[in-house]
Amino acid sequence: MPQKSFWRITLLSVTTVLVTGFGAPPAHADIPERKYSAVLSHLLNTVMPPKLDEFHDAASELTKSIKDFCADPDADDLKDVQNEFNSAMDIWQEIQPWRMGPLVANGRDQHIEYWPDKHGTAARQFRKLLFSKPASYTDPAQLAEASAALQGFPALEEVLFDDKNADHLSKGDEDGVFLCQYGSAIATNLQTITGELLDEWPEFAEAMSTAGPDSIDYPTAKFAATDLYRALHEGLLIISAQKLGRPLGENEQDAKASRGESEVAKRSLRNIVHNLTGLFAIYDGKWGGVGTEGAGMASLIDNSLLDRSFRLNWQTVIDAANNLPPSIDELLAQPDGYAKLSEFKSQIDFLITLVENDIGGTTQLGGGFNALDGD
Amino acid sequence: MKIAKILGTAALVSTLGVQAYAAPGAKDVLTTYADIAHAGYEDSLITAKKLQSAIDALIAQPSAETFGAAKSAWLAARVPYQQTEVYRFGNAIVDDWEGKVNAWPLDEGLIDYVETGLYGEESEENPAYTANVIANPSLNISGTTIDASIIDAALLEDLHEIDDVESNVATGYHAIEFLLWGQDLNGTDAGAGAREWTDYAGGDACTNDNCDRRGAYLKAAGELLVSDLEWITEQWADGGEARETVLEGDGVPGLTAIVTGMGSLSYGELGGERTKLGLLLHDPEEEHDCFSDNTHNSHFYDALGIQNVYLGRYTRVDGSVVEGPALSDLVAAKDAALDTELRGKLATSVLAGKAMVTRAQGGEHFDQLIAMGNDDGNAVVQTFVDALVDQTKSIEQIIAAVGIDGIEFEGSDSLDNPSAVN
Repeated sequence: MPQKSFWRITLLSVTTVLVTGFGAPPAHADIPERKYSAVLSHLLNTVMPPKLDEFHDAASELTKSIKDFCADPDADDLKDVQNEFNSAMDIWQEIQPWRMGPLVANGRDQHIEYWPDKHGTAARQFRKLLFSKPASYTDPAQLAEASAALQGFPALEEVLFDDKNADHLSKGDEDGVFLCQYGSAIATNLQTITGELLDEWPEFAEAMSTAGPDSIDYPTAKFAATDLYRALHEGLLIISAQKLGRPLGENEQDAKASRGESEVAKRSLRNIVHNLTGLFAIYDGKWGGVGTEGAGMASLIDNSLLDRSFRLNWQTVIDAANNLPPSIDELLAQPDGYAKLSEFKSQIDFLITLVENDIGGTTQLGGGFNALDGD
Repeated sequence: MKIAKILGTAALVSTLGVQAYAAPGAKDVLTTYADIAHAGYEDSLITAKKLQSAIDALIAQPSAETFGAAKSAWLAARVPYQQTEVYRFGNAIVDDWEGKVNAWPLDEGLIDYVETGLYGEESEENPAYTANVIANPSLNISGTTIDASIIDAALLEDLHEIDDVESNVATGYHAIEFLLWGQDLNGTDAGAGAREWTDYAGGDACTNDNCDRRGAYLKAAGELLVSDLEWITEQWADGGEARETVLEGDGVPGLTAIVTGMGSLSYGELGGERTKLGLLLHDPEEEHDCFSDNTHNSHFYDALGIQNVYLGRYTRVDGSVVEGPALSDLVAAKDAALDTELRGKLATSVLAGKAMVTRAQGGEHFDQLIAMGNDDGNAVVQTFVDALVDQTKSIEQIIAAVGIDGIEFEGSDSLDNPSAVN
């Protein structure tokens, strides 16, 4: 029961902040507000918008691809659609950990990808949908009002990658026609959602960058910047507890790849590689060709040894991730696969410790609650 | 502006009838916290004993009246228990124990008959998904044969979370709820579970078979609920482990427990898992008290419990009040504006919970409120979620506002223990 340990994680974080709070003598002088503002402005105004553009473009390409396929289905063209799915999923997995503002407003991140399906709800709803094939679910506008589990990437993954569904799609039979129309509606809905995200982001970025006494939501830049720390911390917690911990189970006998994320498309570990890219951008300030190295949370750290040490540890984890196959299913099929997966989780856990103790403390942003506190 | 805020605080304090204490020590605050915990669990025990009596009466003399009385007793028992849920996160002793009494969600097919058209026949994750203990004196779960010929507390404890599957909930409030209401087959339409009293009747009047075994299950679950609540009540009494733990040391662990409990219940659990998820999925299976349609009350009393510990005041089931120096007083002494803000936000979430209760009293329950297309109902639930998320932001600020002296900084592995880095 991995969930039982979450409160302890929270307790540790909170304790750390209590420890570094009013009573204890400060190790460092307070970080000036302008430094938090600069980080917020760089990450939210400069770094993120091009990535949201890229995400919206990928969703648009995916929509076009599936519509083209549905006009004249065949197995080879389905591979093209699957490739477009993977391209869109790659950029989404980089953006996913930036859980703040318009990305989480009204459950938008869950509408893009409802996962994990802890109670089996998505699987049950999907079964019922394919049984009854309601026409309303082929209309993007009506689909947008439906269950989050039926309108994002995991539902589209079931449509495109599940062997039985893929067979129906390629044949273009009665089930295939419904799946095509439903899949097109999901992709179109994703295109709409990513467009909304793109539109809403600048206002949020501006509000965060100009945080101060005049703002109701963000009375200080430091308070606003806690969202950055929370995203970095929670992103790693989710990788450890959900993306790795769930498939690992209690022991090797209990391990099950199907509990991993995107395992129908066999890309659970590929997702984590992209998650780590997006997470490191929060720390570093550079994301691919966008941004400036050292202009992220790292710029709040007045300790070059700590910064170098953190970067070194992060790179160790990246190297380990790049040496793993794209899916947990493939890794667990190897004789030492379980041990490798466990070791990888331990490395992520060590990063979490560093974030809590070093980054949280030094940036004076640590602590707080996260979505993993529940069952 | 500052004057207005202070006046606002005074007005709120007056409205709520809470006595404000000037800058109490941490130990005073923690004593109140432990006192409220003890009173809450003792009230849960008292009401669980009434439920147990009602179950005994139902089994002795099955009828619509005794069945209705048992259901009423269950609903009454939820009132104090839900107010204790704020103690779960932050107190290891509670968190490790609570799964026996309030585990959720459950695969009810483990316990009794289900409508498989809705529920399904099997689950990839749960080999005991439709084990149906009541119908089967012998069970085979994952290759292990279990003798279920006698249904008693020991059997239920063995079955609870069997096969390490959390949704195999064999004990606690929700198992009893299922045995009293049955599955709610109405989807997001009106109506709760509609189990008939004749599921406990003798002879030919018995419906759905195995009425004696069903009665034995219900009786054993009631007994376990009482014994589990007796145990946790003892832990919060003078000398009890839970009380001693929060009171030990310099107050940091205890205050941390309070803040962790308030924040974790507000955000991840109540705001997230129990409420937002149902709204996102528009799925009646995602409601906490899904058999009885009592979710509105469970959520309201959860929110009230969070307010109770912050204000240091709890109204017991007999109407008496337990109160004392509170975290609110401690925060007010450090940051009066933050205290005012948080009091206001806690009051807002309680009111938002009350709005769901009012809708339910008007015939529109939580599963209807979260239905797809019910924009007005969705908005009522979203308001509750928003209030919980909003109060969490202020709860986080308590951490910085409450100073504790004499604590050393935690070390940094990457600097203090370089060998651990690689």
